[in-house]
Amino acid sequence: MTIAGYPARGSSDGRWLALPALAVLGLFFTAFAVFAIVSLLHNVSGTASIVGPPSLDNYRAVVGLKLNRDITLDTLWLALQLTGLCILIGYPLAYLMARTPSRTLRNLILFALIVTFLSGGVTRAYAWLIILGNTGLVNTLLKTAGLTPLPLVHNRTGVIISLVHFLLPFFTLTLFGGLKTVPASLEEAARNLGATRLRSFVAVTLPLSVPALIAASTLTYAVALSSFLFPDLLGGGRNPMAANLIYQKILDAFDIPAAAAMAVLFLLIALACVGVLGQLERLVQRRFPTTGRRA
Amino acid sequence: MRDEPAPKSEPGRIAGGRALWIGGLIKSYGPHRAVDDVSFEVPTGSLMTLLGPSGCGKTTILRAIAGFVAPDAGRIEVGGVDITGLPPERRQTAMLFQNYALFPHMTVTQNVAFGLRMRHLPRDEIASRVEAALALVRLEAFAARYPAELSGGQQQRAALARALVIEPQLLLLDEPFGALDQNLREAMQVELRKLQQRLGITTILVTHDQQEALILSDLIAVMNAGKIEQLAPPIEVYDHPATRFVAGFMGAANLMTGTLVARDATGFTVGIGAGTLRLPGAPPAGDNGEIALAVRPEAIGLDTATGADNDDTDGFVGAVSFRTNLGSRLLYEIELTGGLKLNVEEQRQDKTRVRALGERVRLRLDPHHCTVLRG
Repeated sequence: MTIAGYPARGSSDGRWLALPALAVLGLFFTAFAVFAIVSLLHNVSGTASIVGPPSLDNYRAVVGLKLNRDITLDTLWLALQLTGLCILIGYPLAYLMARTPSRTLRNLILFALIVTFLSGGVTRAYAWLIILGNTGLVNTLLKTAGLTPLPLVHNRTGVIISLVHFLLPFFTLTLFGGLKTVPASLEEAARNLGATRLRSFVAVTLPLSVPALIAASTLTYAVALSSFLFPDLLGGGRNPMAANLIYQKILDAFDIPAAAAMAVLFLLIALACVGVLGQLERLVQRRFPTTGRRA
Repeated sequence: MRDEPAPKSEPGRIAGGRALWIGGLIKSYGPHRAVDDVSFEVPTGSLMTLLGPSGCGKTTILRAIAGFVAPDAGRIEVGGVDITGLPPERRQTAMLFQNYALFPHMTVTQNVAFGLRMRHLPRDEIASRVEAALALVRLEAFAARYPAELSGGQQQRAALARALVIEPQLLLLDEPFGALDQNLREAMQVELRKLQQRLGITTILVTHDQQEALILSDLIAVMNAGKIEQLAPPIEVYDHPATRFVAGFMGAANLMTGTLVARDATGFTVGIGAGTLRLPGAPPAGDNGEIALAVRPEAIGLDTATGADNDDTDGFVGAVSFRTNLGSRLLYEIELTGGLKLNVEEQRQDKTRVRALGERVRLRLDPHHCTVLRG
């Protein structure tokens, strides 16, 4: 039944509202389609021109090279490590933010995270070089204290430190939102029933935060996979991740079809990984039939 | 704790008679004193209600008893043992939270078993005690459900079972009926009171609902601005409110201000508008002649005014300015000569004549139902 003055559900008026979203999605999809098509062509050696006929040669070449396989696997593994570190550092931070009665403390943490979010990547990368470099802040302090300086840049350590810093706001802010929906009264109820602070966290808050934890981890993992800038600047070119490899293919070899093939392959692998995590989240949601409902 | 005041009662108190004793409790949030030097005790097995408007400090006291609020000063004893410094998990108090705080990821059984698991009881003892607790609140059939699959009343019963199963020395109820609709609320109130009396468990209830307090309590502490204004059995709080605040908060009482016009050995006379009222006993000492009175609407009788009752005669004469029906009762608002308005409630029987708007009436005020207020 249609109420006078209101269009019935599903009438054409409603469909126009979806148009802007469809346009944006269409644009992204077109870009991706162009990418996929280019990956099937091949480069004319020494020139920038790309010609047919379409084939899977680029894919064969990319997969065939051990270096590509190693770096892809290494990128997946590094992103996992980074996500793990973010959980270790970010969970307590998000928990503190969600539970502290001090508004000042919460705002301070929030401010620090958002400043990280908003400051430019290049600026931050050079800031880390200054702090971690051989004559940087940390090593100067170590030397002053009579200790051996540590190699902190142009290696894996520098990449990990700077990337954790970059990823932490994504993780913490997402988890914070989820933790806030777990009422503090549940922890009080647990303690009232005889659970210590730690037990009440382990038995109540932690399991209830698992859906938010998985969501935050998925986001962090996806962002970590696409890291480019920090491995480039703090890894000293010796610690490339998948994105750096694609970049080299374009700038060093001018082989755009090969780069496109790499990008498509990596995108599919990344989507598969994120898909697995998403499936896990749905599974957990089903395990707690209450999430999102009034308890 | 800083500068703890000396306990209000003498040392060597007998512990058996009182389940809870609170002395000189103070808690401030910034410059605001949420609880301002409160002392009271609760006899074993009775139900005491902390009644007051929001922000009066009643919840802070309850949370201090449970251990979620650290008092600035004062002492809390449960069963004669000082628990002021104990963390919540080491107190023998069980709280029923406002929104029940059932663990949403656990079934009813797991919720009820939680407190027993924390006490590391043997598995079969946990099972039998959970079963008994669920039977007590008639939730056996819902044992395997999750809280979200229960109705509001069932959730409350599950939370109650979870609190009772640990056999606490004190049961703490934080506005437990607020989330229930009217009919269910009344049924649950009666059910809870019966259960509490049957188990003989000492209970502290926090509420802002005076009706609820009257239904459930053995003792009511009416609170205002961090202090207890009156601590007495429900009937006494209702019939003889100690202060203007209590009279107002207990609801519907007529408040009148008059002046002392005469006094003698057996009583005193208060003038209110054109009327005078003779009360037994001595007038409140040390005031400026102004006397505040509270009288319940149902304690006032109505007579049809005779021709002699004109505006010049003394007495409480006025006209019906509003009338409404409360089911078994009639509520009138009478505007007295001089402008004072009083509410009058009459039981309605078959013969009761419903008075018309504007009809002139004379009020009968029973001195024994007029309460002189302090403050």
